[in-house]
Amino acid sequence: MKSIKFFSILFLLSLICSVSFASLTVNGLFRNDMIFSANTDNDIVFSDILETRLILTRRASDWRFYGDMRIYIYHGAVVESMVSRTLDSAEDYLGMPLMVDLGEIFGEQFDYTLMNFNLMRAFVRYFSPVGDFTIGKTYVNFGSPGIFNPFEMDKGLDFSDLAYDKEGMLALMYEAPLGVLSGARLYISPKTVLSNTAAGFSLYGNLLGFDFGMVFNRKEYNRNSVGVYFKGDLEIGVEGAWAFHFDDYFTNSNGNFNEAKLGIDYSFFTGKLISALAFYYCEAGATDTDDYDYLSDLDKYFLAKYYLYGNITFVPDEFFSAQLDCFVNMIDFSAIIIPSVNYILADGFNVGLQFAYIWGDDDREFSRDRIGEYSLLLRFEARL
Amino acid sequence: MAKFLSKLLLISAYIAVPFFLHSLTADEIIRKVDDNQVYTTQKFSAVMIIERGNRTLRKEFFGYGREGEEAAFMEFTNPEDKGVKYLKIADELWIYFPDADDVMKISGHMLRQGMMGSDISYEDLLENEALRDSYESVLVGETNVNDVLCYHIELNAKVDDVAYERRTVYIDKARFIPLRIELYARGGRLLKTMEQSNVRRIGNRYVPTKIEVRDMRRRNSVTFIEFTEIEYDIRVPNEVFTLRYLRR
Repeated sequence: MKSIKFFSILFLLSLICSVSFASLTVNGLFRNDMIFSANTDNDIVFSDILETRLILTRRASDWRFYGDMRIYIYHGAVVESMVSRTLDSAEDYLGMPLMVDLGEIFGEQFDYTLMNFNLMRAFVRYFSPVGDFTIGKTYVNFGSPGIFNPFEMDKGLDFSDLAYDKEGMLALMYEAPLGVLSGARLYISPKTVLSNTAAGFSLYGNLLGFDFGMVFNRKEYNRNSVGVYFKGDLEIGVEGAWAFHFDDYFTNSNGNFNEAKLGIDYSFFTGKLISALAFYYCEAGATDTDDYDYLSDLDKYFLAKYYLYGNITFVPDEFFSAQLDCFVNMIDFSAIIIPSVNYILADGFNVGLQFAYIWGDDDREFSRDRIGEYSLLLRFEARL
Repeated sequence: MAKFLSKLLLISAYIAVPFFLHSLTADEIIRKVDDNQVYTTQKFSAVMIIERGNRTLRKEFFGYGREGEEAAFMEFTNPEDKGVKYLKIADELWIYFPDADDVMKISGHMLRQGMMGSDISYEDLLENEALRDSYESVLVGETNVNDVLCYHIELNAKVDDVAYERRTVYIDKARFIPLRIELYARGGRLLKTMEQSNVRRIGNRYVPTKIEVRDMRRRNSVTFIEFTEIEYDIRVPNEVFTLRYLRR
C-alpha cells in the first residue's frame, strides 16, 4: 500500500514536471497556529502547527494545471496525540510514507516535532466542446458545499478551520454541459483492488432560482449513497439535502441509513451580520450516549442522531471580522462553541484568534473529561 | 427706452422659445445615459483599491458582461484572491473557490454585501439594467460638478426590486455621463455616493474609467475602481456565462 502511494506521488510529481516547462504561476501561503489547550488533566499544553503551501497554476486556452503541495511541521502536544512514542516511527502509526520524525534526525531539541509532506491537489483539466476532463489528484465534491453535506467525500471536520480544504484523490472526472446552469459530472477513482474502486455521477441544474441536483456515489470499501439536494432563496437562504447510504448488496442492515440536512441563512445590515443555522439528521446515529461508536466506519458525521449547527459572522469592515460557530449534539446536549476573530494586518497578511470551549462532561460526545476543557489558537497567515 | 426694452424682450423671447422647445426632458436624458451605459457585451480589467483611514487593500480582476439575461463573470488575479471567480446571472450569484475547486451559490440577501469587503456591493458592480426601466425621473435643474455643467435629475423607484429607492444623478450635459450619483435608502437616508471621472471615448460611447465609491455608513472608507481596459460589444463566447466555466 505504501509503495502504491509512493509511486502515485512520484507519478504526480512527474506530471507536474512535465507541465512545468510552461510558465507556471507560483503562489504560496504560510500559516502558523500556536495552540494552548487545557487537556483532560486540566494542564495547559502547547502545540504549534506550521503549514507551508505551494500552489502552482498554469492556464492555456484549452487546459489548466493546478498543483497544491503542503509541508506541515507539528510540534508539541499535538504530536503526542498523533504518535505513540512507543512505536518505532511516525510512519508505522500513521501510515504516512512522508511523515518524518525530526527528533530522530536532528536530536533532542527537535523532540516532539514531526514533518509531513502532502500533495493536496495535482490535476490537469482539459476543456473540450463536449465537456471538461480532469485527471490527477483532485477532490470530487458532490452536493452543495458546506457544513453537514451528506455527499461530502471526506466527512472529517477541522474545528480550527471549518472551511479547510480536503485532500484530493486520484481520479478521472468528466463534466458535461447540459445548459447554462446545468450539467452532469461523473468520476472514477480506480484502486488496485477493483472492489475498492470509487465512482459516481451527479446531475445538477437550476430552476426558479434554486440550485438542485441528484447524486449517486459509490465510495471505496463498499459504501454507496444516493440522494438529492437544493439551495436557493425564499427571502432567506434555504438549503437541504437527503441521502440514503447502503452497501453494495444491501446485506449490512446497520449500514443502510438515511442522512439529511436542512439549513437557513440570512444577513442583516447589508451583509455585515450574517447568520446561519443547520439541522443534521443521521439515522445511523446513536440516541443514547452508551451507544456511541467511536470506531464506526459508516459514512456520516459525528456519533449521534441529531445535531444543530449555528453560525454568526460579523464583518463591520474589510479588515476585521468576528464569528461564532457552535455544534450542538441534540441527544446529549453537549456542544463545542468556537468564537473567533480575524484581522487583516496588511494585504495578504492576517492574524486570527480562536477559542474553542467544550460544553459537556462524562460520557457525552463533546466532553471536557475526554477532550479537554478548551483551547486557544493564535494564527498568523501570509499569502504570497 | 421702454419701447427699446420691450423690443429686446420680444427678440429674446423669439430666441428663447425654440431653445426651450428643444431642451431635453428628464426621460430623454436618462434614455441617453442608458444608451451610453448599457451594452450588449463587455470585457474589462480593473484595479480596486479599498482605503480605510490610512490603510489600503488592492484587488485586481478582469471580467465579462452580457446584456439580455444580465450575465456577468469576474475573476480575481491579485495574489491573495487569485483564481476566485464570480458568475452572476440575473439576481443569482455563484462563487468559485480555487483552493477547494468548488462552486458555491450565494444567497440573494448577500448581494448587498460589499464585494471583497469594499464599499461596492455585488449589486452595484454587476448591475446592467436600464435606469428608465426601474425609475421615474424628474429634471430638477442644472448645476456644476467638478467644473462640468450637469443635469440634476432625481430618480424614484417605480419597481420594488431595486437596490436603492432613490437616486440623485448629476449628468454631464455634453457627454451624458453621470459624474456624481447619490444613492438613498427607502427612508431617505443617504447610503452611498459615487463619483465617476477619467472619461474616455470608446467606440461611439463615453466611458468613465475611474469610480470612487463612499459608503456613508462607514467612517473614513472609500473604494476606487480604475478600469485599465474596457471593450464593448465584442464577441464573448456563451460558455463564459456558465457554471462549468467557473471551474476552468
